[in-house]
Amino acid sequence: MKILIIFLLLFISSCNNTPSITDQDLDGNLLFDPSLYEPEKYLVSAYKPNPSDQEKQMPVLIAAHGYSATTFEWDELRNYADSVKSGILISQVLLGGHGRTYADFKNSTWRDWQASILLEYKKLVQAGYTNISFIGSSTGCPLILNLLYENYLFQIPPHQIILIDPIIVPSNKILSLAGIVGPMIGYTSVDFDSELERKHWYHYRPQETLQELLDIITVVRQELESGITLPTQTDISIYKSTYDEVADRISGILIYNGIKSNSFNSKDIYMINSHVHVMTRLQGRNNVTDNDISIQKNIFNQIIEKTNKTKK
Amino acid sequence: MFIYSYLLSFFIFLAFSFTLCATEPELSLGLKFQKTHKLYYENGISAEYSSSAFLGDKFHSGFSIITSRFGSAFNSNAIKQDIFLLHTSYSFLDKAIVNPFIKLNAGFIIADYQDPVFDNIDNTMPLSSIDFGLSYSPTMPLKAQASFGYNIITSDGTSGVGTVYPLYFNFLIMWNILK
Repeated sequence: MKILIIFLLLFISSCNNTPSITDQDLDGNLLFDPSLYEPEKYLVSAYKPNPSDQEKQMPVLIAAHGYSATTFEWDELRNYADSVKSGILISQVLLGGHGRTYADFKNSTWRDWQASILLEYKKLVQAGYTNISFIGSSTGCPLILNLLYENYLFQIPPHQIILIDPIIVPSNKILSLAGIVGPMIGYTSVDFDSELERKHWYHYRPQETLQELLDIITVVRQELESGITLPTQTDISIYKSTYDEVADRISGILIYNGIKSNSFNSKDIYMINSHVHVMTRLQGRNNVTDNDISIQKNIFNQIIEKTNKTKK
Repeated sequence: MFIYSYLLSFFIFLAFSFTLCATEPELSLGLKFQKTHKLYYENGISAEYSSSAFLGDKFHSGFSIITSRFGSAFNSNAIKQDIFLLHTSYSFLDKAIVNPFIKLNAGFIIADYQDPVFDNIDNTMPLSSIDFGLSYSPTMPLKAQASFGYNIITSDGTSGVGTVYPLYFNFLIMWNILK
């Protein structure tokens, strides 16, 4: 009985847990994602809202970052694409609830996270862009796959869908208990490799958002089980690190087996011998190897090549 | 293949031990239904043996074979995976209609990833789990069990089969064929 009372007290006290957030954390009231101040630097819809007929044909890549991350996750791709004059316009979307305050994050659902991707797509379609591709990292991937499954992208079917370390199954299986353990612990925190990461990722993860994360990956897993049909104009490419401590590599298998393609599509999977989760983002990490840099460059080149392919 | 020989020798051991028993042994065969929390349904068969001469009446030993092929992977793109377990349970009460029990399971899982591109990814791993549940036996040959269990070994994304999650729920319906 004593143990039960202690457990209950622990439970009640932990429910009120709020982390001690400092102004050096993205979670605080000082640091926000830069795309909120200067959307024209991040979103094609804000940068070129009235494209010329020629610009309407340019390939646009909508880039969605992962859970608790920000637009920073795709800075390196944008910089690389610019440096090689790829001719691709990149929209770095900030997921809803992200890049703001802890309370904003805590109160957001995965539908809010996804809404920013869909909004940018709709704005681009409205503006007349006709060659739209998507790239996602980690949780950005199930958010994109769900849009495809629910047929939100019917107006202009995507040209390419590129998934980098998608998460359908987490490496840490305790996430599956988020609904049970979450209310007892209130939130979890992460250790950063650098101050740069601290500026661009949430330090604290409210349990409510972990439940949302579990929800979106469960929903999309079930959608993949029933089969997600690619539009005939769409190709898909999956890049999965095989020693990823965040997104289990079986996520790649589940997506590959769950996507229904036909003779018009190409469906490619690249199982890559790497320990890095989201191989396309190396800035801010410790112990980056030459091999990591080479993998990143290869993937960037393939992204550019695929996105620039003639649209069907 | 070693596990098949293991299972075979286990059967032989069972057959041998209950022929030696003086008291009434119990050999129950039945169906097992499993739902892993936030993952698959896996269904299959289970067998349990108990006798006073073999560990005592409160212990039941047996095996289960369950598969997602008769569950979530039936007519779907879920991973086709088969689970082979040996188990021993201990019932807390003597011949009660509702009897709490604890069960230890050990075995392995094999997954079929369907495409040679995944040949380098582990498709098997050992399993070890513990169940807590209630057994219900309203009329003697019939027995139903409900339990929840916890997989002590789960995959970590870098080795093993990714679809081994910690928490699961079991329902068994069994018939004592020696009664």
